[in-house]
Amino acid sequence: MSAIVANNLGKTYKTYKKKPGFWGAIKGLVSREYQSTHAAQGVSFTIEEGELVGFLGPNGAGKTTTLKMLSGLIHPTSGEATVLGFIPSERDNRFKKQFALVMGQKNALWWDLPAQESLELTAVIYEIEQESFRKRLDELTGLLDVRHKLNVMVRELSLGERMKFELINALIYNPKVLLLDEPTIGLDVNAQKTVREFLKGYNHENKITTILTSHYMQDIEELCERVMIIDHGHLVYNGRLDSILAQFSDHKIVNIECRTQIVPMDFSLMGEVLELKAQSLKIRVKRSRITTVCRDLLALEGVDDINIEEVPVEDIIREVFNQNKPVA
Amino acid sequence: MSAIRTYTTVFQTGLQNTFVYRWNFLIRMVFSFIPFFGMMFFWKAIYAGATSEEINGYTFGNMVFYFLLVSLFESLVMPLDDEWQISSDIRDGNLNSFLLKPISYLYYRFSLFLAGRLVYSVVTIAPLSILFISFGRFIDLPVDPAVYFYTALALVLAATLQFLICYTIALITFWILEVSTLVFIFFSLEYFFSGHLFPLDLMPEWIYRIIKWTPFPYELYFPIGIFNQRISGQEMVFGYLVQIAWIIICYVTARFLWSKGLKKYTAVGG
Repeated sequence: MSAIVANNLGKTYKTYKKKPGFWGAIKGLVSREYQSTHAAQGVSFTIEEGELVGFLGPNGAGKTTTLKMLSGLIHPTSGEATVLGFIPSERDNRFKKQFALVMGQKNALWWDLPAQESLELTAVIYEIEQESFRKRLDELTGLLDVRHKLNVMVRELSLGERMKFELINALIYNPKVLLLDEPTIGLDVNAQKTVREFLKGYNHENKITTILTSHYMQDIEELCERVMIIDHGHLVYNGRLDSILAQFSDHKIVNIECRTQIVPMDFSLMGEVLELKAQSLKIRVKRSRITTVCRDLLALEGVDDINIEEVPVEDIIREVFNQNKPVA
Repeated sequence: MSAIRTYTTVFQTGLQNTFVYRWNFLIRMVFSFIPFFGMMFFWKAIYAGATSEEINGYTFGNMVFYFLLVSLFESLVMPLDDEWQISSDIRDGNLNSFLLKPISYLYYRFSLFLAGRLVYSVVTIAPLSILFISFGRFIDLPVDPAVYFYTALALVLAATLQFLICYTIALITFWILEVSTLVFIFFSLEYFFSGHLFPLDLMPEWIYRIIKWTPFPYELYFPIGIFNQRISGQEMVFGYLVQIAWIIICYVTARFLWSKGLKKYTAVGG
């Protein structure tokens, strides 16, 4: 049985369209014009037990709406979702005990108390034995390197430390399904890296089914083999990350650095010039022409260094968004 | 059994969390003495001009004792900012994290309310004692031990009723985002009809006969009346029954609003 099944999920919000200005507000009292917003439409996918899937899309594309439907926080207007065999919106306690949602921008810990207190309360709410609670707490705080912060008031923690405790708070009761909405948002590079490595190891060892949304492509690249891309409420891609990369990255980026001034010439014949400075050049080249272009570039006077990179995943994903039509 | 453990832990966590605000509580209590003193001057002037020593059975001393009890009982049963917290949980979407937990929001809030009351009462013991000692000559404690028991029972029910009323009003946030107007309307009715301003039996008989069917007297005046031995026997039994009836009404209303509100909440998406 798949851990998560979304079948033709749709959510339409009816929003009241307010006319501008004071008279608009008065008119709104008498007759209201409603506008339908399709936050999600016909979203279908299945996720197997233990999978870690990246969920991508621009702001307002329907990511959070979909996650909330899978959590049971909102009712789908059409279609249905099953998580671990439960219908989330029925909010069965047996479902809740196996499920966790972590939102990077929300705070579930007690602000004025040390994180330890919130965690202990969570353990009691989810009926975790004291002994296994201690063991898990020790393990998780160790992995995330926040053991020494357990007794510090949550409001005095850094954003990164707080996020780590949010994760611990969600994982302390050993859920089978974990939805992560922007868990690394606003964190510094080090904290992002710790969280990322932690998630990787945790998913690997515990076979926890995870959906992850993130604006940081590095999170997606390092953690997810499979991604789903949503745009304007439609699922536009659902498949392996590397195959989408192959499909869209038929370009590479070539950088050269020179000791002397680059002799001006028409580089646009080689590819798309991304950056041209006095002593350096950055150019986007079709994969099939890469060897020819490199040879030509190396033949230039005074070339010191050359390096060839893949097009960043961000750019590829952006390209998928821009196409805005179902692929694959 | 595990549910009891859950809510006692919520209660304990609430105790610690509320304790952070102990200084606010203390200052709040000390400043609530200002209206108390105002009340004393006011009644002193009235008694000075009165033709007899008693007004409707209250001597000046009885009146002082009445207001001392108002201060004490209020700190035991009155919600402080519970309705604002509940309201903002709904408005700001913090409710989401509770909906995901295997926990009842109503009992969760009630545990926190009780914790808040306990901390508030403990913190304000010192200023209250000073107040009671300075007006010690007016204190007229009941002799019959049963009266203490009856009062305690009425206080427990009053606290439950006060909490359920504030919880119910706060739930209206599901429909109108800003409930402060409602809260203030209710608060002013409460202030007047719960016996906060003057003992309710000073009111014309016919008004009192109407308001004793409303929930207001049972939020504060009823336990004071029992302790003052102005309410006893059949009248007291009637009081308990009305108090319990209102608790049931509020509970059922709260449950109803919660399930309706949640439907709306999950439809528009927290």
